[in-house]
Amino acid sequence: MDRSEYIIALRSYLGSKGMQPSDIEEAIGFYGDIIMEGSDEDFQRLGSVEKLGNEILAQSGIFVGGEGSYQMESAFVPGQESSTFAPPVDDAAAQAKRNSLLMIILIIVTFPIWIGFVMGILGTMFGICAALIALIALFTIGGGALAVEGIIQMFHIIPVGLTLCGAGLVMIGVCGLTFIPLFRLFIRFIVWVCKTVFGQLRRLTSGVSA
Amino acid sequence: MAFPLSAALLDSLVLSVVESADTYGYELTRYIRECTEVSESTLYPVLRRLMKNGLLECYDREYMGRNRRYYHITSSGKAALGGYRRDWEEHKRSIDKILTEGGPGQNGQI
Repeated sequence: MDRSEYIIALRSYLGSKGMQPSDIEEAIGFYGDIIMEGSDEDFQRLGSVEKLGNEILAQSGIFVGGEGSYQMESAFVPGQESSTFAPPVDDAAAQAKRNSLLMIILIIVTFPIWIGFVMGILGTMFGICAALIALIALFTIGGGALAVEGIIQMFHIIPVGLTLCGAGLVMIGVCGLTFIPLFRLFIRFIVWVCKTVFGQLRRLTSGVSA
Repeated sequence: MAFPLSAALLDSLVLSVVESADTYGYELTRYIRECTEVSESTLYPVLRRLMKNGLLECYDREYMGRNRRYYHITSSGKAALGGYRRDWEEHKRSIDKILTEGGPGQNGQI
């Protein structure tokens, strides 16, 4: 990829991650000269489009995975009493802790709003689960019963027996090929949702207790 | 041995360079790298912070078919830079007092 293509790819990457157009122009405005005019060493140091893009996104407060948050520090304010050049205090951790605490408070305060929505979703998921289980049971048991009846009927009226047997086997086949895989997929989806939600909650609480 | 640069020191270096002449990102990075090892990804958030706080402003100028972004110090930036310079002199004096003059063993007193 040449340098012009690198800039185009970087602009596209930042846009795809939801960065505001004005922020993209600001970043391209800064890095564009380095990309186009920099030495090979300077250009190589920027890394891949994704690496540089993720750094820019993190500096703008947009995260693409990972932890932590980039906090812009305040610049010097004339007249403000402070030890400007004292050793830097690492308050990023304290800021992250405050953010986690605020998020927990927000979740508690807005509980009446989101609880109905969550219960609705849980109810729907439960309903879908129950429907799938019922269908699996119906097709398995019904198909099995038909197949057995068909075998019995083959000793009396062979065509009827064959038809019933065939129908029963078809029902069992349809259950095995569609409903059971669908049910397993649905269970995996529920497990993924639970892991994601509990993972986020654990992050929040560990951010506070850290 | 490298002494780490604080955010305040980086701010002051950038403001000082831009005060002497409007400059663009790459030139600014090259100039500051002459005195200390710093990367573009370190300077970019410094510039954003300074612009967010009104100490720098930017404008675009056309260069070889593309826009080059120049940074210009504002009056607030000049005032801040003055404060940074005073603070730096004081800080430098405090550090030099121990670093160059030595500790209590030199004259037997704390």
